[in-house]
Amino acid sequence: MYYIQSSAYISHQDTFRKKGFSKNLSENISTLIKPDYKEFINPSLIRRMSEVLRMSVACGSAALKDAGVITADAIIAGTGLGCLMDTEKFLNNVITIQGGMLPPTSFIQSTHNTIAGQLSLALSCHSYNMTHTQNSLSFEYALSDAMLMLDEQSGNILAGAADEYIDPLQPVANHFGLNRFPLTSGAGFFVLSDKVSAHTQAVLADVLAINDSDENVCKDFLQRNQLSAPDIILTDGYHNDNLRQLRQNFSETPVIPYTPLCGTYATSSAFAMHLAIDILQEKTTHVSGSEIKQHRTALVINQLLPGHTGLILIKNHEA
Amino acid sequence: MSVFVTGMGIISAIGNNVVENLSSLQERRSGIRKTKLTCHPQEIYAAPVNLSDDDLRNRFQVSNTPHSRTSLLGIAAVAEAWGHNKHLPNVRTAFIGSTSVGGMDKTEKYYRQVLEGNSADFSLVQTHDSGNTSEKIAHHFGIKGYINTLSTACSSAANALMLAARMLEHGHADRIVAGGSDPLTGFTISGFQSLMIYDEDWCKPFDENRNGLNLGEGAAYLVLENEKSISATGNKPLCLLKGWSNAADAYHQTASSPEGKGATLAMKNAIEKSGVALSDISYINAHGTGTKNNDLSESTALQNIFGKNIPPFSSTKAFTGHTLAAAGAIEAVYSVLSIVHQVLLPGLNYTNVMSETGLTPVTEYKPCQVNAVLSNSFGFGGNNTSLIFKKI
Repeated sequence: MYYIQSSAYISHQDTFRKKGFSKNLSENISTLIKPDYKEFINPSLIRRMSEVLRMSVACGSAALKDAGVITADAIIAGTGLGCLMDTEKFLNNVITIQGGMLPPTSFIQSTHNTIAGQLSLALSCHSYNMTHTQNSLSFEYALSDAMLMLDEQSGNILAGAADEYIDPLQPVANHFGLNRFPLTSGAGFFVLSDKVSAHTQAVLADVLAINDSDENVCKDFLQRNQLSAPDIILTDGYHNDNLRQLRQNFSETPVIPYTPLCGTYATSSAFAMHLAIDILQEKTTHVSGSEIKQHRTALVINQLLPGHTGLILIKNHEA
Repeated sequence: MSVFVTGMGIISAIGNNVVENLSSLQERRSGIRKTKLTCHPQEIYAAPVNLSDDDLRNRFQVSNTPHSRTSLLGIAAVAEAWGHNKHLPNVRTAFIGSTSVGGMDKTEKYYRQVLEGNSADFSLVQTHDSGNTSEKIAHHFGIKGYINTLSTACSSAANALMLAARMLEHGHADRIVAGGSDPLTGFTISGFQSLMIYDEDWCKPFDENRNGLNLGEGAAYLVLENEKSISATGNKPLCLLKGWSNAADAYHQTASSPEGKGATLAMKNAIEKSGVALSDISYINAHGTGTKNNDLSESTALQNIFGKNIPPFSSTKAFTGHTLAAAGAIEAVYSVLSIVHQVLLPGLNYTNVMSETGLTPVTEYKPCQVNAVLSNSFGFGGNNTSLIFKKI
C-alpha cells in the first residue's frame, strides 16, 4: 500500500495548507495565491529563485513538516517544461548580448532538475533525486517512480510536480489551441510512504501513464483495480469530446473538470490529486450543486494532450 | 531478475556507430576540434557530429514532421541499438530517453525570430519540450505505451539506464530502450562559458593544469532485457547491468563538494547493489569533465571508495567532448565495449599528475582482463549516478 501522508500545493486557488479548500473554490483564477515564502525558504535565497523554485521548495518543506517527517528518502519531481523563467532569461541573453560574459545564474537555474536539486539543498537530503519530464504525463511518471521505490525499500518519499507560466508561452499556446483556459502556474509535493501513520490522509491506490492510449484505457485501469466505477472523477475537461464521452461512460459518477479551476499547465493533474485528497477527507462535497455523501474513491483522468492518458486512483483512508 | 544489455548504438564526434567509436578510441583520435559552429558566434573547441540534420533525416528515413536535432541523433543511435529487434506480443517494450535541453537547437531559431519581431515559425518550437524528444524517437521504432524522459543535466542518461534496470528488475517491462541525446546549442555553450569552465583549448581531464570542459554532441541508446524477453527475442547478451545508484551531493547547485559526498555515496551504493567485489572492478569510466572542481571532487571520491587501490580509470570526454545528457549512455556503451573486447580505454591530453591526489589515468588503449566496469555520471544540482556493468 502507498499512503499519502501530506499534500502541499500552491496554485491559482487557495490550496496551500487550507484543509477543506475544496468547499471554497473560486471561479476567478487570475492570480497565483502564494504563501509567505520566508516561512519556508531561507530569505537570502528567495531573491534569486524563480517562481517555480519558490513554489517547489515551499511545498516540499511544508509537505515534510505536515507529514511529521524530518528527511525524505527520495525526492522525485515531474515537470513538463521545467524552469521556464530562467531558461527564457538566459536564452534571451544568448541571443541579444553579442560578445562578453553573460551572468551565469539563470543558466545554472535553467535545468529541469533545479527543482528537485534545490529541494535536496534546502533539506540537506543526499538520497535519490530524480526529475521526470514527459509533457502532460510528467507527474504521473514521477508518481510511478515513487511507487516503484516504495516497492524496493521502506521510507518516506517526497514526490511532486511543478510548472510555471511565462509570457512567451501565450502565443505558442494560442497557435496550438491550448488556450481554452488561462495559462497558469502550479506546484505541489506529497509525502508518500509504505506505512500508515497518524498523518495519513489518503491511499494512492494506482497510477498509470500511457502514451498512445486507446478508448478502453480507463475501463482497463478500473478493472485491474476491481472497480466498475469510481465515486468521483476529476478530469482535465479540456476537450469537450472527452468530457462528453466520460459523462456517457460513467453516467452515475459525478465528474469535476479541474482545468477550469487551476488553469492550463503540463502538470495540472497534481492539482487534481491535491483536490481529490481534500474532497475524500471531507464528509460531504458538492458537485454542480448536488451533495455527494458516498465518496471513497476518486479517479483523476488527465487527457490534456491527445493520445496521452494519465490516471491516478485515490482512496480515502479509514483509520 | 537479471538485467541484460543486448544491444547498443551510438553517434558521437568520434563515429556514427559503435565500430567507428571503438576504432577512434583505439587510435586515440579525438573528435574535439577548433570550429565555428552556426549556433555560436566564436570559434571554440567542440565535438560536433559530422552529419547535418538533413543527412540524419535521409539516412534514417525520418518522416517530414518537426524533429529536433536531439531526436534525430537519438534515432541514429536507436537504429543501431534496436537493429533486428521486432515487436512481439508477449514482450512489453518501454522507452526511457533523456536530454538536458530537449529541442533547444530549434527553440533558439524560433526565439530569435520572436525577438527580432518577425513572424515566427511555430513548427520550430513544437519540439522544445524534452518529452517530445523521446516521443519522436520511440514512435520512429513503433514503441508505444511507456515513453518517459528523465532530465537531470549531465547524469540524465545514466539515470535513464538506472530507471530501466529498476523497472526490469520489478517486472514492470520486459525490454527497455534507454539512453540519451543532446545537440550542441548556443544556449549550453554560452552557459558553460558564463560559468568560466569552458576550456579555450583542448580539455585535459585529470591533469594538474586542466582548465575546463569542451562540449560535444551525440546520442547513445542501449537495449536492456530480462530473461523472459531474451528467451522470446533470442538476443545474445553482451553483459549485465548489475548495479546502480543515484545520490544527491546537496552541496551547491553547480559545484561538487570538495569531499565528493554525493559521488562517494553513488559509487558505494551502486557497488553494494551489484554484489561485485571492489577487486573485480577492472576499469572506471570516470565522469572526468576536465574542470578543476569535478576532477578533484571525483578523485577524492574514488579515494574514499578504493583507498590506495584505485582501479585503472580514464575519462573519454577528451574524445567526445562533454555530451551532457547523452554522456551517461555514451560512456555506458564504452563500458560495455571495455568488457566485450577486454580492454582499458584511454584518456587524452594528460601530462601532469594532480598534486592533491597523485592519481594517473589510463592513457593507452590496452588489453586487460575486465570483469566489471564502474561508470560515473555527475550533473548540476549535485545529481550523482554510478552504474556497474559486469561480464557474464
